[in-house]
Amino acid sequence: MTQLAELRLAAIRDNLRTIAYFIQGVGHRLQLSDETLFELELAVEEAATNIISHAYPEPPIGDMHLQANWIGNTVQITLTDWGMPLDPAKVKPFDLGAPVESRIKGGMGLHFIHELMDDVHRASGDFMGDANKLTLVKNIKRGSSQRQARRMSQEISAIQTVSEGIAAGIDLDDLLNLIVNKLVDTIDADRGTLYLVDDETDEVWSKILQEDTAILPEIRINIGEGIAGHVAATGEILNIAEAQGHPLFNPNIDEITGYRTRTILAVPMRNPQQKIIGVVQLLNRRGGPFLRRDERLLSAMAAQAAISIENARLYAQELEQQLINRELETARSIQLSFLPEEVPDAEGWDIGVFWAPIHNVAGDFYDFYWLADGRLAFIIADVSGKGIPAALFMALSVTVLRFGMQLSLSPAELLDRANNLILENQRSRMFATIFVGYLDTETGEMQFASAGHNPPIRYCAADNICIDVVASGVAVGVFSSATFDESMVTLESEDVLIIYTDGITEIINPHEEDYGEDRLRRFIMDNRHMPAQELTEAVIDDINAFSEEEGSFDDETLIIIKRLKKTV
Amino acid sequence: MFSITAKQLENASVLTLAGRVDNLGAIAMEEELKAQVEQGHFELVLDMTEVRYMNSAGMRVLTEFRTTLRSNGGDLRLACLHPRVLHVFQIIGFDKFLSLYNTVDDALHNIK
Repeated sequence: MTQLAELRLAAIRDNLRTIAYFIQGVGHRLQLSDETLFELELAVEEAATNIISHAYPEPPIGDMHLQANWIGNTVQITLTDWGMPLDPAKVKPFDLGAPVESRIKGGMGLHFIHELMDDVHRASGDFMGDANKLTLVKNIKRGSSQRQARRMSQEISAIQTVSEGIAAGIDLDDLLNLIVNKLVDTIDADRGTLYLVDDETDEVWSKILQEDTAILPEIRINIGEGIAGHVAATGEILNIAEAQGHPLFNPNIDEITGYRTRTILAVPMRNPQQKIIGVVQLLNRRGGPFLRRDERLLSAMAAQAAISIENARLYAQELEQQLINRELETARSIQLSFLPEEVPDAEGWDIGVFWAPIHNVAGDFYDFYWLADGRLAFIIADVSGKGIPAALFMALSVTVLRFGMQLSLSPAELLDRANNLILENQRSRMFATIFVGYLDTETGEMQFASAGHNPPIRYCAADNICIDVVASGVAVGVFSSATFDESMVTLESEDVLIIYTDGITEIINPHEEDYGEDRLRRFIMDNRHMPAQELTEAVIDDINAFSEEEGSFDDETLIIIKRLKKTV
Repeated sequence: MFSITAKQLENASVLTLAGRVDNLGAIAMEEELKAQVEQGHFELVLDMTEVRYMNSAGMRVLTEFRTTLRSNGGDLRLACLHPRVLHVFQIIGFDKFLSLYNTVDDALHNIK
């Protein structure tokens, strides 16, 4: 058995073209007839379409894997997915006698697969997440000539070497060297060069340069000029039997190295998106000009090299993403350290908190602080934007606010000072809505001010109603002349205060309805007897159930403060 | 990869297809057929000379539009099928029910 090629990619429709190129690549390597290649392409496309529509009917969309093997005069393509296993009972046999309109409904793809392939094996898993494998087997009539057979096995062995190199995960430079060496050997050329496109300078440069004199460290050619530049610009295959005097041939390099170029074969390397990413060029085939079959083999190997380069690039990107993720983790833990470690323990009061960033880090924050006069200060804030910029702005805001509280500023003074400091210290045009309350835990009196934050809800036990706790003021970080009103309210026995950011009420369900304040009020009234922490979690459960897994689009913060029933 | 061009004749629209009618090609083909129907063109002849590949998505579009065109008094006629594409049509028995012609002229002559 020889593994010819493999490919793993997301099971989405956009990738069907890549799969077609993959099969075409396999076809070229095996020099399949157009007929056979067509049948193989169609069967694989139908099988892949089935995976896309049936294995992963809804997100999360998983991957599919294709592997092409050469096994005793057959080419076998195995498609693997890890989605819903096929239920054979649900597969309706294709009915050739049925009216045509119902014939197209389903089962047509599967019918094609069975008709076009010589054999089909299926091994389905039992559950979602198990591997489901479908193997398509096509018999290949091989050329009768002995020489052709030997040639083919030689070429397959070249591909195998490269495939093994890829599978073994060897270094990209080594792998590309290996590819060029193998090509030079197999096609019996004298030497080879692998150029890569440099998008920034509009040049191709020699990534792999086989050259004995070591005079040239690197060759750079403008795209559109010379042989390699022309191939990179047009995607044409150039097979030149007489280099000297050819209009595109640049003799300067020969002059420098003392080499004499006679014949040239240059093919483009395309990535799976069909963008030209480089050129592979072979020089001076022994025993005459390059042949048509050399063009085909070189093209196939160039495709293989392109995939390796692409994989290496993806691998590097993945590493970079991991690094970013690690930095985000760090940012998150720094941000968490800004938040109070625990909910304050105040006699006669029960407090619960929920805080969830939409990304790793949040623009929402809350704070508790015992003031010098014995009152409990609490703050909730929602910074414009999300992610790292919001988190940095949040850090600035927290620092400014804490400093103000240490100075025993009143809530309105605190917001005023925060507004001025933030305007002075940042030019990023970010802003924050903030609610500040100072609670006298003895009397239940709460002094408060708001910088454009949505009003907290007070459940008033005596009247069994909900009232908004309103104070006027605009968001901090916008106007230097902003003023903030200050008010006072008394929380009585069994009253509940709900302070939240709009991520809670603005969560939407699939019908585009938002959760809204009314729903929040009703839920609080219905469940007011729950302990505060339990109640915050119940609210979160309720909004999540409401959104029907639509998920949140904003940071969510919720604080619930309950005044306990006085015990005599 | 796939292109479709339309030419309006006296008694029919001739659509010349070229390239692969795969899942993406089928979408492009569907859009053009839809545009034809919206303009009130119900006699369509598809010149398939340059189509070397068609999958089940393409065939679904063809049958759907054949039904639409016929219910509006027209028809969908296919000319110059490549043998490979014809073979696929035969596998699902479409050759017996679609109106297939050797040339575009043949197809046009059969429109009443």
